[in-house]
Amino acid sequence: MSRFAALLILLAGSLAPRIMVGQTNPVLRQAQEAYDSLDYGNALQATRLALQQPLNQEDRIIAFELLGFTYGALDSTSQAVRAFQELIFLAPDREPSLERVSPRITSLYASALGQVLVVRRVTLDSTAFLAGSGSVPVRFYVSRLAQVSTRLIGTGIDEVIDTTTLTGQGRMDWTVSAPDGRPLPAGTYQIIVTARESSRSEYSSEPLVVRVTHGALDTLPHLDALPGYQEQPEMVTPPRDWRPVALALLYGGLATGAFFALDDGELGSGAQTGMLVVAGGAVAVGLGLSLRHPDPRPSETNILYNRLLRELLTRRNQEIAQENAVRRSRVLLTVTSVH
Amino acid sequence: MCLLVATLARAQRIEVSAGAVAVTNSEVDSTRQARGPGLGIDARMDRGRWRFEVQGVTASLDADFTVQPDYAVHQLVASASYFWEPGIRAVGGIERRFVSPDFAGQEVGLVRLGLGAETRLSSLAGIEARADWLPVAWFSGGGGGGFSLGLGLGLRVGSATGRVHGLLEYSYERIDRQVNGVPSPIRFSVTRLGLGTRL
Repeated sequence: MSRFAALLILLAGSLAPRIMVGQTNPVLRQAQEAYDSLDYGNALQATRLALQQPLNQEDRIIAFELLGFTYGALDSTSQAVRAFQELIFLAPDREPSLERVSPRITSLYASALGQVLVVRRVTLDSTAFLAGSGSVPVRFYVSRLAQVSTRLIGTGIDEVIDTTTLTGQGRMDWTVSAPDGRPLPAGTYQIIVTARESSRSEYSSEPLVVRVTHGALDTLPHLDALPGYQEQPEMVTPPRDWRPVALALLYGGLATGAFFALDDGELGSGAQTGMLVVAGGAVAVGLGLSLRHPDPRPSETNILYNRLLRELLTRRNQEIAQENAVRRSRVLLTVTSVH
Repeated sequence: MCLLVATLARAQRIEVSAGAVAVTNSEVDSTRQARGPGLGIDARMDRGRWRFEVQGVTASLDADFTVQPDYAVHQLVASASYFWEPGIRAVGGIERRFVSPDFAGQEVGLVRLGLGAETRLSSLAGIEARADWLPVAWFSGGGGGGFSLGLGLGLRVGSATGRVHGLLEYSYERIDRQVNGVPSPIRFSVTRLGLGTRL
């Protein structure tokens, strides 16, 4: 092959996306092709050969995975488990796909996982909560029973924030607070989960990078009126009132009756005119007042109701002001996982 | 004096009113009935449960028959009322009536005791009534008062808190005078239409 052609191949290999397994290592690629062709013997040989060569991290992962698959296909259980153990140490979160791999391979992988101590799948659900009244869950998986400690590293802080003993799925609720109880400053932090089985068996996860930001709580708006309640009119127009004409008839009638009881007319009838004029005038005025639209009158019930509404509204706004004062003093923490 | 009145006005309620009056006076029998127009003034002061009132009337009366000459009558009434319930009062007063020329009619002096009631018909008008017993009567021509009664009916049109109001009032007295055992009754009435104001 000419130098120019070789150079072209190298250039193409470096610029094209890694869509093929083991593209950087031809031996490993050969091993993959042999495995795909069900030539397990050649696949095994090629994989061993590849592992003797300098490989990058990703190729080593692929190599041990291929080794485990091949040994599993060849029914070499112990070798398969050993290969999977190496794979687990290199990539704890990598698992064979249940849809693409046979159950036998999956069980060998699970067996390997149970024989080594690793911490895998350390995750954090991004969330937001008030400082001092919430937490964010940090989840992880420990392959064997071990003492698990969670360590937090950041600006001005490097300490163990949780210890427990467990195997399998674990969870730590992180309150994002400093030892003195105050919320952690905004910034980037690392969470490392370490499992310790004995003084000689310990595994620490890759750091989980999280970002903590501070925010302010929204304050509550002041109310102009209580929801669902309306003030009632304090002056109401009562229904037509016949009281004026009734009173005029009563007074006028009694006075006229008393007059005619006292005055027998023997001294002339001159006094009668005045009596009738005044009594008639009173009745006419009373009738006119009864027929006109009544004057609006204050409604005691509505006045008391409105007064109560205003007191409740004032009290509610005072409560809102106090709540807002508390809200302004509180910190809204937002924790996100940085990938 | 004006300053004194103004100062007093601020301490209690004082009203004055004036208007036209129609007076009838009849003595002994219907042939001696005289009637005519005139003027009347009234001043009233309300202080706490008390009311003090002074009224003056002057009128020129024309007789219906020649047997009775025409004459002028002048009346002064001073009374005091005590409200023991809102709108209900006991009234006591004195009344003096003068006639001119002399002997054209009886001059009368009376003591009046009575009861009064008043109420608001609405925010724009009020009505009041009065019934009096006249226990003591004096006459220029002598004789005694007998059992004498009086009554009154009044209408006031105007807001209770307003400064100006109109009034239409009627007062009536029946005095069963007897001279040497001979009945000589007297009937006296005043109808008044006027305007009042609150100081």
